Amino acid sequence: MTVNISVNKSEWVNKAIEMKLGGFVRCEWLTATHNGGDSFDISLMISNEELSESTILTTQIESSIESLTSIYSSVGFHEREVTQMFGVEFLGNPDTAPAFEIELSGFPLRRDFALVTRADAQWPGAVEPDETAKRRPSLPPGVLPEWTS
Amino acid sequence: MNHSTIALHPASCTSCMLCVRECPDWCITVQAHSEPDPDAPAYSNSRRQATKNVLDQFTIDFGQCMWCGICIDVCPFDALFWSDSPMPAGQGKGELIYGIDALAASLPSARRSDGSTAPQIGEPPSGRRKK
Repeated sequence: MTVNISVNKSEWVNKAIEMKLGGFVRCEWLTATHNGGDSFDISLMISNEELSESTILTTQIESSIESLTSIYSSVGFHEREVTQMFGVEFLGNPDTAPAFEIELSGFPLRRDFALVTRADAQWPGAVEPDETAKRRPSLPPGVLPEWTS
Repeated sequence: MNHSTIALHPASCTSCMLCVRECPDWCITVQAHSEPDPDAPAYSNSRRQATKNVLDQFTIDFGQCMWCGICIDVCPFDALFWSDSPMPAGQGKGELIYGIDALAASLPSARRSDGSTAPQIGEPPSGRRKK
């Protein structure tokens, strides 16, 4: 069973300590969601193997948050991954090396990152079966106009 | 999650393009044209001949498809189904692009969300198409 818990950014570390003391000792993953602009949701999944229960802790942040490496040592890699992919800073993570050895211009998992393959490819939905119908051409969802221009 | 492949009942498809536009992978293409619809009711005040879309080509690229099932969910005319036919396989990318005939070949084992069998080739559309 998985329980979702939302916490304030200020309670992020304390809640993680509380959960670990409560038996949620295994860190499954940590990831982020870009809400647009400077807003991100950070999610941490931790599990209690004795109870076969999992919890997803979520908090909303603006570009930086305290690292959980002092509580869950395995979370360090996931934090570095989120840093490289979203540009979110984890304060106190001792390892600042990029998670992946790839050159990236920008942060690929942000919503405003131009997807080259989408900008190059022709959207199949632009076709109108009825050529005589005069309607505003549809635009592909998730592809910003400036990518293609 | 268990899934197999996706089947198309061509007679039910109205070329409305909803599946093409909703597909997150852009793996569906539809080519269609419109022609006058002789079955359409004639209205005395209508100046325009009613037209209907005729499906020419429908392809799903199973090399790109991620089996999300959104196309099946959005189809307003129940033209797309989950089918129990085996997953498509091939030696190269091109062999995974399935056209109308290949998609319709999966119909015999296709089912609706309520478990009933899907219409077969030759059967009229039984979706929510308005008469």
